[in-house]
Parts: sequence; structure tokens; C-alpha cells
Amino acid sequence: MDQALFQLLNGVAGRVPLLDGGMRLLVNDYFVPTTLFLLLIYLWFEGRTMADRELNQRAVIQVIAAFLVANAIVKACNLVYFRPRPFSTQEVHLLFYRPSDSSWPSNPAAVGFTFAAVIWQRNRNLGAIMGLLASLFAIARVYCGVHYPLDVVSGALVGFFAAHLTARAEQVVGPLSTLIIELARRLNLA
Amino acid sequence: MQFPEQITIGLLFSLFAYGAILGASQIVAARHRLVGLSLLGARNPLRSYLLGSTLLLLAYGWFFGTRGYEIFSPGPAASEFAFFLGLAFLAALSTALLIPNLTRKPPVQKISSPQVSLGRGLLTGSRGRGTLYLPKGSTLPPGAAICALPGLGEGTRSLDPLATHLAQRGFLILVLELSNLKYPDLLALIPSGVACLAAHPEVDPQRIGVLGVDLGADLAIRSASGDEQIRAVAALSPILSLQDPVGEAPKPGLHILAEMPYLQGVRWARATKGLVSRLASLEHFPQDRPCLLLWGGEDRLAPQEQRAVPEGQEMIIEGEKRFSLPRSPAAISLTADWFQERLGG
Repeated sequence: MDQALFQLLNGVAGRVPLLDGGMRLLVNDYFVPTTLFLLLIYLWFEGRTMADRELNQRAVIQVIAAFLVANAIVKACNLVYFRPRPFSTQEVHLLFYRPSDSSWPSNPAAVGFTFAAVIWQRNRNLGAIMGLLASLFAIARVYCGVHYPLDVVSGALVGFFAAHLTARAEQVVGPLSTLIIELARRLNLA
Repeated sequence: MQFPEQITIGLLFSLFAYGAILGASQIVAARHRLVGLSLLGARNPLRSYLLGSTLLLLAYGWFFGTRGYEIFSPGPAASEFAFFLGLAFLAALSTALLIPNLTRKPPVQKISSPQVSLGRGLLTGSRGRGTLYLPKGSTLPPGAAICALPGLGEGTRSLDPLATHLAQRGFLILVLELSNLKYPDLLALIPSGVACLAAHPEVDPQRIGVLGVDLGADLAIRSASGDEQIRAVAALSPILSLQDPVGEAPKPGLHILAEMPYLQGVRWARATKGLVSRLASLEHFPQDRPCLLLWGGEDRLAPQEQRAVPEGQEMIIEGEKRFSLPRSPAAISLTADWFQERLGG
């Protein structure tokens, strides 16, 4: 099924130039991550009251913690299992360069869905926008031939798990957030 | 791909991220009216929205439109990516915070009124320096006078509109500079100014008031408690004593950027921290003399819910911030009317 879905999505690549252009914009390492980061900056300043803003800032700090956790999980998975990229084992429509690391789980999907899952708990609208960006990022990775669908689904699950883990680890993330916000407040930046 | 090539990609990415973050910061500054973060000032948010959107479009357009080779080459690893993004973030934040300090001019009003003449000079026998606003063609018999202090870091010119208006109403105004003075030397400032006014031939020593803005207002209140010669006190945006559960000075945080540029804000916060508790103006509130306490409705450095104000004394001018209050026509008119009632014109 993974292979069939991959063929379905990657099979469209190279047929519609406009769609290819859009996917090439989304697939690279810069567009979606930078946009997600800009949305975090927006959230840091958002909030009518100081208490409201502090909750947003705690969410931003939680994103960073969850991002680190998600990356650690992906690295750990890469150590125990190496899945070759689709272009290494078959003929694909490759619209991106050839990454050399393991295909499973997808790190870009993990990052995108970590952002979306954490922010969804605090701000539904922004969380939905981030979720949309993360989904497009994941689809583009398959469309452009650098990941299998299972890789990006696994990456998304890693992101959700990292968000859940940092939300549960309030004893660790809470004091860290308080410390960072206190420091930023002293610098008049929170 | 060679190592130097990856560095080049990283630097190009940093440049893109710098432009994008700077653009985003301008949109945030416009949305929250943060004068300390806005490259164009916060008076016209539309300009900041336009600048922010343009920077974002240029950054995205340039990077994704022209750097195809670099984007579709193996780039920096995740940690290097984070490093370059962090670098861009720090550079963009520094730009957005520091430029307003260089470009912001205090909104002053030139003295063009035919009824007011302007003198500037050292106060005799004191450490202070001030500007004297004289009603033109004044006057026998001697009239009322006001000794005024601007907000911390605002400079005497920030009181031009208010002082000019008061002088037009027939008051003689001495605006003192509030800088480079430390506690307790600061306490001598207003008494020196009042003594100087009392000795002036055109001033009736029985009709002297004081006026202050921000920390200057706290100082005015404190000085009035120990000087019987002062007949009325107008305090615009005083800090008094903010209700803080642990008795610490306020931490205004981001709110400071809504009022002033970053570096001025840092100085303000540092000075306020020490001085508010030392001045203890609320404890020295003059019960036996009229005192006007006026705040702007948008004052986020001393928000209404945190103020400890003697009952029934608080007046609010809606839509004004801490340092815009002395330039507000409503506040100017109200203050002038109030002084005229208490000291006579």
C-alpha cells in the first residue's frame, strides 16, 4: 500500500509544470521551516493581557523543546533502522536533490507536525495553519520522490508524540519556560 | 558539495531569513503599536504593515526566485540550519530594536505663539538647568508660576506644547531638565526651581504650582510634601506605587516597547526600579493641597488595575499613552483649566 500510494503521488510529478513548481517550493529545506518560525515570532507577541501573552510564549518554548525531542527520536530511529530512499531502489520522478540519510521516519514531517501539534493546543487557528503547512510539506516530499508515504506518516506521529511528551513533562518544561520568560521580561522582550 | 559551498548556502539562507524576520517584526510592531520595534515609528501602522509585507515579499521572492541552485543542493544539516536561522533572528531583532533609537525624534512643537517668549539658562544656585516660558508683555502685578518636570529621558522639549499653552494662559513656566541626577540629589531639583521662580520679579510667590510627567510627577508629589510654598500639584502619568505582591519595581516587559525605543526603555526601567520605592510618592501624598492625578487610558507601563491611587483622585484621558499624554490637547486643556482654578490665571 505504501508503494502504491507513493506511485500514485509521485506518478503525477513532471506532468503539470505549475504543480511541480509549487511542490518544489514546498519540498525544500527552507520554505516551510522558515514560515513556521515566522509564525512562532508572531505568536510570541500575541495576547491582549500579559497573562494571555505568557501562555503563548510558553507554547513557543514548548515548541522548541518538542522540536529537540522529535529530532532526537528521529536520530534514534535512524540508528536502529535504515530505509533506502525511493530513488535508490526504483525509477522515480525526482524533483529534489538526493538526500543520503535514512528515509524513515521523515524528519521534515516530524518538525512540521511538532510545530502544528504544540500550537494547536494553544491557538486553534494558528495550529490549523501550521498543520496545513506541515501536511503540504509532507505531501511535497512524497510527490518529489524523496520519501515514501509511510515515512511522512511516521514523521507526523513522531511530531505528535513529541508534542504530547513535552505537554506531559510539565515539571521539566514549566520551570524552563518560567526561567526563559523571566529572563526575556528582564530584557523587555516578553 | 564542498564545505565552503555549504557555508555560502547557509549565509544566503541567513540573509533571506534576516529580511523575512525583519519584515515579520514590522508587521508585529504595527499590529501591537510597538514604537520600540518599528523602523518607521508607530504613529501610522499602515506604513509599518506595508514595510513589513514588502520586506517579506522581497526576501521570499529573492531567495526562492533566484537561488534555485543553492536551494536544490544539499544544504546545512539541522543543527547548522538552526545556527544560521538563530544568527538571522538575532541580527533582525537587533536591527528592529536599535534603529528606532537612532531615528526617533521627540515630537516637539516649535514655539511660534506670539504670546510666549522663550528663555533658556542655568538656574541660579542649583545643579539644574531649565527653560523658561514667559507670557509675552507680562505683567504687573506678579502672576502665577509653574515649575515643571518632563518624563525620564524625554527632555524638556517634550513639554513644549503644554508649557506654551500654560504660558498663553498667563502662567510663567519653568521646565527643568531631569537628567544625570541621582537620588537624593534629585530631591533638591524642584525646591531649587520653586525658589528660583519665587525670586522672579514677575511671579507671585503665593501662587506657585508644580507639574510633572512620569517619574517627574512622582518627584513633584514628593517635593510638594516638603515645600509649603507649592500650592498645587499636577501629576501626569505618575508611577506612585504599583501593587506588586513581592514589593518589587514593575517589570513592564514588552509594554515598554509600546512607549519608547528599546535603549531608552532599558534606562527607564533601570531608573524606575530604584527610584519609585525611594521617592515613595504615595506615602508623601500632600493631603492638604490640591493634587491632579492624570493618566492616559492606554498607559500600559502603569495599568489601571495595578495603580494604588487615593480614592476619587484618578482622571483618565482615553486613547493616550504614558508619554503621549502631555502632548494630548485634552490633557493640556484640562491641566491648564485645573491650574487656573487653583492658582488663578
